[in-house]
Amino acid sequence: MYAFIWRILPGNWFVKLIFALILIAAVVLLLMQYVFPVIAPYMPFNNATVTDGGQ
Amino acid sequence: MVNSSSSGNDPGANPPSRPTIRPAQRRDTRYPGDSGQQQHNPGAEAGPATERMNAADAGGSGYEQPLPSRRELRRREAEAAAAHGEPTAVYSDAPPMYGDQGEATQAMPAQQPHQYQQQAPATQQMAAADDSRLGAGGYGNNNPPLDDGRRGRKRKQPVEREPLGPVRGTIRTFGELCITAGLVLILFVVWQLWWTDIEANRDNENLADQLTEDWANQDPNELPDDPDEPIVADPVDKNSAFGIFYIPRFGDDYYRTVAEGVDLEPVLNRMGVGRYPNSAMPGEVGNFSIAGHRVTYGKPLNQIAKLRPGDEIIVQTKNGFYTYTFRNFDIILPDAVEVLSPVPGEPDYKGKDRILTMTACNPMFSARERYVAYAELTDWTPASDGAPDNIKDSKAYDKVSKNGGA
Repeated sequence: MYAFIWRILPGNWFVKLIFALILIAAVVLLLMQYVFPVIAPYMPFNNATVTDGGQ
Repeated sequence: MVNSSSSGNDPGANPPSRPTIRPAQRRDTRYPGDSGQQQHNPGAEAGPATERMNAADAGGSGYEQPLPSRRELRRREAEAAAAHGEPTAVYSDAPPMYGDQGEATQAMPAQQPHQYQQQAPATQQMAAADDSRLGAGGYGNNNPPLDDGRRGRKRKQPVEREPLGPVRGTIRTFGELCITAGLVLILFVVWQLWWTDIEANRDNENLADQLTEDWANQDPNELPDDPDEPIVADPVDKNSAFGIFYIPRFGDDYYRTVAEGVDLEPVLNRMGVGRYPNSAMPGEVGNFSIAGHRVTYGKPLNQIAKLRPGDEIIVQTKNGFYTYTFRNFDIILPDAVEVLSPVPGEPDYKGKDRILTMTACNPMFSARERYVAYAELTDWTPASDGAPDNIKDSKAYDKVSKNGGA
């Protein structure tokens, strides 16, 4: 998978490295900005309220 | 045929510079001076029969025993000697026929260039023969020299990858996905424990600045007739901030905004602590109840367990400063909503005190229980009188008041 990505990236190894870092940064940003906030409420340590339902 | 004939030319091809002597060469190395001898009887013994025997010897034995033992070699020599009746026959099974040699070198020119540095064409020819002989003796075909050549070339040419088979490819991809999943989990933990704090604290500061700015542009409520009677804060819309908490016990620079509602988004996750809907407002008789994260998202109530009886909790609103004094705590189950009633734990009574109830998760990083802290209103200062002494000189109040006024 990663070998395949590395192969299809254009340019020499330096350009590939830049592209790879950009890709990693994009994935990290996507996860932190959109994915994690969605799944965080299901984590067991984010409940601070008392409610009828117990959650 | 090429193999056999070229293998016969070995005796001359013992470059003294050769670092190691491979077993397949030993037969030749034992007779270093015999090349001259061979050249004296070029056609004498090298008939078709000898060549055939030679072929069997080099190629055939090569398949079965890549490295013939010294004893085996001696046996073959003895055989050859017996067959021809004279010792020279031993060497004659390697006829130095130059015609054949040329044929050999022509047959494998592709294998030669990367082998060894040769100074003279003659030695090159002999080396060529030697190489092919090695191939015949060692592996029974011409591949080994080719391999050698490829190994030499590998460093210069771009790597030619063999495509993975379906099984290996699947396993490799699966492994990579597992590693990726692990990294994503680590990233999630980093985000949850570290980044949400940074984000929430930043949002909280902005919100506090905005709030104090708004207050500075509004007229405070009219003071009630009785100066000891606190002004009850006006209710606000859901998900909007209406006050700022200062808790000196949590640190000199501690302050958090308080907003209406207890939804995770946006109140608890980004606006500090949240007020339970339908609970009392600050200064109102009844139970002013708030909830806040104990871990993550700026952890406004992280140190809730450090409160000691007598600690002051100051809530600033547009109207002034409400000072609540901490009395006691409790650890309850998540569904114990009776702690939010005007008399905490006694939902049937109406109550006449001004209570502050704070809830947070307990233990940390768990949703098993709730930590609840109770405080009672003990003092109140209208906004026009300035901040009360207990927070007037604190870093937190400096920071909040420096740009908004209030």
